[in-house]
Amino acid sequence: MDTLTHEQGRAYLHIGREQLETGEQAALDAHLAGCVDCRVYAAEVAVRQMNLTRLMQTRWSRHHPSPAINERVQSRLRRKKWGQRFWNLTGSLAATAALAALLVGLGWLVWMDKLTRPVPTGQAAIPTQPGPPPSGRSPAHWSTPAGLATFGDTVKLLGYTLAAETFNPNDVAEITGYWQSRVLSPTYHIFVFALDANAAPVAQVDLPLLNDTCRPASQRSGEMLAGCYPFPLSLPAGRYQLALGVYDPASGAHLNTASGEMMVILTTIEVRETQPRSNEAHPVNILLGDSVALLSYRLAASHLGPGEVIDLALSWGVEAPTSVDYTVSIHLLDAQDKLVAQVEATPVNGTRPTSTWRPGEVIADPYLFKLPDSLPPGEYHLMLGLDDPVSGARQFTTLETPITIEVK
Amino acid sequence: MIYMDTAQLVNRCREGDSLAVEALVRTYKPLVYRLAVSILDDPAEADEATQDALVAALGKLHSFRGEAKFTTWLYTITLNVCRGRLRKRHARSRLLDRVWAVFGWQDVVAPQPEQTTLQEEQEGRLWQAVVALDERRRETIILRYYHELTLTEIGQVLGVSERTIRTWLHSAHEQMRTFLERD
Repeated sequence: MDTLTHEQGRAYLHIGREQLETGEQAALDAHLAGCVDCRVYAAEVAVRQMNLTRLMQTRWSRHHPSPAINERVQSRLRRKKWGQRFWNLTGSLAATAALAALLVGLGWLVWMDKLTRPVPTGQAAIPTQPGPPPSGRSPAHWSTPAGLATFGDTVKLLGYTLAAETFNPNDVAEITGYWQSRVLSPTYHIFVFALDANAAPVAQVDLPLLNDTCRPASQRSGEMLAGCYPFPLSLPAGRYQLALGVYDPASGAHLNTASGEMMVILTTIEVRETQPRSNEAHPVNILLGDSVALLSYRLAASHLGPGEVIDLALSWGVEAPTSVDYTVSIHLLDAQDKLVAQVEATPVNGTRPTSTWRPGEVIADPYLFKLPDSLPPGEYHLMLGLDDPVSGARQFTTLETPITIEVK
Repeated sequence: MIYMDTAQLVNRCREGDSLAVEALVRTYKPLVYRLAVSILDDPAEADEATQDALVAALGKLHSFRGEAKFTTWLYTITLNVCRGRLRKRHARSRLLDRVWAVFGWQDVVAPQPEQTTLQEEQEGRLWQAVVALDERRRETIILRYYHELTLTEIGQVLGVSERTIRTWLHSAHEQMRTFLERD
């Protein structure tokens, strides 16, 4: 039964039939079936909508953003950060001046007091309570209140972080040491040994105890400073202990711990067997929409650990030109088909939007997709698709054999 | 380039990871530019607006709560940047109009090419009809027919209800029809 007026029918046509609710669609269909004028008007609206889309595509789709935008954005962010630092510094200087005046007063009182007492010679006292962990990081190994170790009675290792304890051969273990700040000598060096099952050193790094490779965030605390020690693991598969010590490069003398040890054991790490990399291309030949077909994919390794990188190469075939700049969607799903991680990217590292693809071309499109650090072990699979980033419309492939990733 | 999960990418940008920032810019630059060029109708200015929008988004990442899609959130920021630029452009234009009026200058009309096809003429009229719409209705038309957003998504980007978008879309069509039938 026709329940719409002509005016309501026209409003529905303007909104678009596919955007109406089911009841509204039925009402529109019933009205159009009995109204010739509105059918004519529906055709007029459809032509106008089509012309609008074509007009705007002709006008704008040929334009692409300048490649220089990436660098300009980074540059503006750097300037913004330095501007903020300047104002923070200005505020800090005022606070520091006030604090300095207070300390001078206190220092004078202490000095007057010390005039009547014998001055102990030797090392500065070390507080027994370490400061809080730096914000934004959660150390994997934080110390007891007394600290992990005190070297030479002057340098105190409060704790350290290590992002993982299992590595692939030639990975770099990023060790960050947190030190008591006010008793440090900036000239000291640290060394880290990897010790094999016989406690023999098989790899070593030697770096300044404090260095500028740490992020500023880790040096924010006034009570604590951080040193970052990247440790390349050019080692065969196996378990190794990491040991850390401190020495003075001027004299070559080690700073022993209170118990007379030259170094302290931090933790045990494992270097995994190298996985054979697969270069096998898996043919797929699935058409996505009218323009693009996924021809094949290659997965370098299917057994990975959390935080490791999926090395996936896609091969696209172009059937027809498209004006839409699709993004490639890679979804990582768990065994219950729950989405656990996803990537949306413009093909070929952003250099070949799909609107530049020409019929007959084969596009090699490589991806390195870092697995989340906290991904639980289990079997996962990848879904590949094309995504219209504007409308949100997605076209996913349905592979006969899903791409499986085994996370240990 | 190593890609990261969108949520993880956003978190790492919040922590100030410069590699994540670079990845985010590279991933979303085409999307932001596409919207900017359609709103500003000027490729060079769209480049600048893209930079402004990405810098603004990176500065406001703490306010992204993940309730809407990241792209929708980015669209809203980009649209606000473009509106700011349009307002400045209109202010400049009004100032020039006043200067011309004071000095009695005439607006220079570009000579029309003699050979224009019927289709070009019709598209020209249709474009004039779009330009004649007010800002909100023009944005609705562009988001619907160029960016192919659903009415719900347009509502999220423009910060109004879907019901309002229906009203704007309907009245935009009415106004364009009236404009096209005027001659």
